[in-house]
Amino acid sequence: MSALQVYKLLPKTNCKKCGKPSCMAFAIDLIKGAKTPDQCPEFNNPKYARMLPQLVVLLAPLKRQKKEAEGHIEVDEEKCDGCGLCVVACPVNSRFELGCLSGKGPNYPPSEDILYVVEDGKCHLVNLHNCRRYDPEGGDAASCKVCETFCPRGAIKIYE
Amino acid sequence: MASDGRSVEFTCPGCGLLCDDVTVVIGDGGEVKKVANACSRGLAKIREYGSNGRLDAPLLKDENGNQHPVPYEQAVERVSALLESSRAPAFYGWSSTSIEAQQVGFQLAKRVRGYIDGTSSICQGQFQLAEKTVGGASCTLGDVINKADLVVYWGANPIESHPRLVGRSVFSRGMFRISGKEMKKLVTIDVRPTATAHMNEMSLQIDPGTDYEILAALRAHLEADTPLPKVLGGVPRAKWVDLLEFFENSEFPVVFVGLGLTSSSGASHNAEAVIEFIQSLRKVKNIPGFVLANAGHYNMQGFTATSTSQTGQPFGVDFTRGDPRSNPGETTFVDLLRRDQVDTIFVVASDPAKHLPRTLVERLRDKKLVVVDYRETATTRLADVVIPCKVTGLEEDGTAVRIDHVPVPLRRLGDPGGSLKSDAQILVDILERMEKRD
Repeated sequence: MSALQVYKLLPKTNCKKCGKPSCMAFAIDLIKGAKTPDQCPEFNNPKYARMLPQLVVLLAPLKRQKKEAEGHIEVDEEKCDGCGLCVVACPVNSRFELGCLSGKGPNYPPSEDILYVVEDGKCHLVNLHNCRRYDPEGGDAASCKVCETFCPRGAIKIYE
Repeated sequence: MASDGRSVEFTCPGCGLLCDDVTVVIGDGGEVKKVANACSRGLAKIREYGSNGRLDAPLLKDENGNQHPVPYEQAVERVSALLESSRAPAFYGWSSTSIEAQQVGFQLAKRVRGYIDGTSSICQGQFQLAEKTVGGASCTLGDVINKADLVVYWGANPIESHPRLVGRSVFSRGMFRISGKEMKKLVTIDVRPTATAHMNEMSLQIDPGTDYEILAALRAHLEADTPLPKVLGGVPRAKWVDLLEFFENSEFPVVFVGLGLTSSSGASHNAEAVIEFIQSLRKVKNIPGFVLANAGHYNMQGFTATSTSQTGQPFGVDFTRGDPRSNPGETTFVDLLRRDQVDTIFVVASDPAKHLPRTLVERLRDKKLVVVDYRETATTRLADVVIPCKVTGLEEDGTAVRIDHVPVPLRRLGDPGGSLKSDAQILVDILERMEKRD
């Protein structure tokens, strides 16, 4: 993502009300994560308001990456005995795999949507970016700890 | 995730749960490369497919007590001669092989007028005995997924014994339980805190050996409103009142019975008490409750099914007088050994020398011992004749019965080659050899 892509969705008035000397400087700060779109007062103007949702969509992957960098989930393979409880309990797994919904394991090879798979008797965390915790629009689900709460071996640890 | 090799949809013969969603990737050299969806217990079994260090030829013990490899026909000849000359042979094992092999085993036992007993006699056989006495109340695991709203593990720790049972029974979502765990209550009753206990709604830690007392008191309270004592089994009355409320407010309670209940003092009477409690619940409160036993070996229920269909007895069958008789405590394998009542022992798919007390293992050593197994075990080292076989469920097709009495076909992963035969075929060969002699 380039600063120019973000700049195109800004008001381009260089009003300096955000504290930056130009809209381009504001665009660079948006990419860095130092500023958020709602800090631009010009978006309250109906003339520019329609561009705000597009800007939020454009910046969503960045927000996700920032959240992922802040925290992670670890699986202790020494403790895990492959009971597959995380595979069944994880809401993301059951949303994308019908088998997990009814207590079975996912198809093999697993799809790119699911989080947990059991391979060679151990649980593996794949596609962490799909976790509800890292969904910028996750709401209450962003505090989901189902896997950590129910792991009978205490093998899953969520670091925030 | 790319997979190299051949993917096989597989039914896992790791435990009585017989998970049918396992995928095994077989490499170009015929080795197991990857196993998906199987727990560590299942993985250990699946890794036996085509594994190294297995027995590859029958062994016969000479006069000096050394085992030597012999041709298959010679071993079969020796076994059939041993069985025919025996006055009281005993057939033991059977829980880790297919129903097909078990059926031939019963034919053999009947022919030579011997005893036949499964490992269930020192395991969940007590529950099967209780089912025979007071009648079973079992449902399928599909019912548990779709309908159950209260799951009780009594004397069971499925996280250790059947690792995938909790995920498949409690966390699964079904037709009438669309949000899974949120609609299913989990209660554990055990003498110690277990790995299963930390995720439940209620955990009752009872005193050892008080199961029958508890169940009798709960049933009396349910049927005749008899007041519960202040402390029952080391747990205060209020907790038991809560448990009864759980049962009374549920639509489909299921109790999974573990060895903690059936192997503590009281044995089959404890299992009877659970079934009778559930029957009272049906009678008094009109709530359809069910009881299932957590059978450990993958085909223990199969041995019970085969034995019951062929003889009317769940285990410990005595053919010595021609017709099948059974008296657990007298005709069961351990008691026969203890009283020194058998002269030849035929073990299929089991390792009694590892599991039985030392005095009984010494008896085992002194008898004529025939073992059919796929790898060297403590029992094969004592044996007069060892016939190696294929691993049923991995290298040979068969049928097994799940813990909920549902027959499940076992599909082999492939043929690892070699001259080994399945245990069912070995038994057929021994039987045919005897018939030829007539």
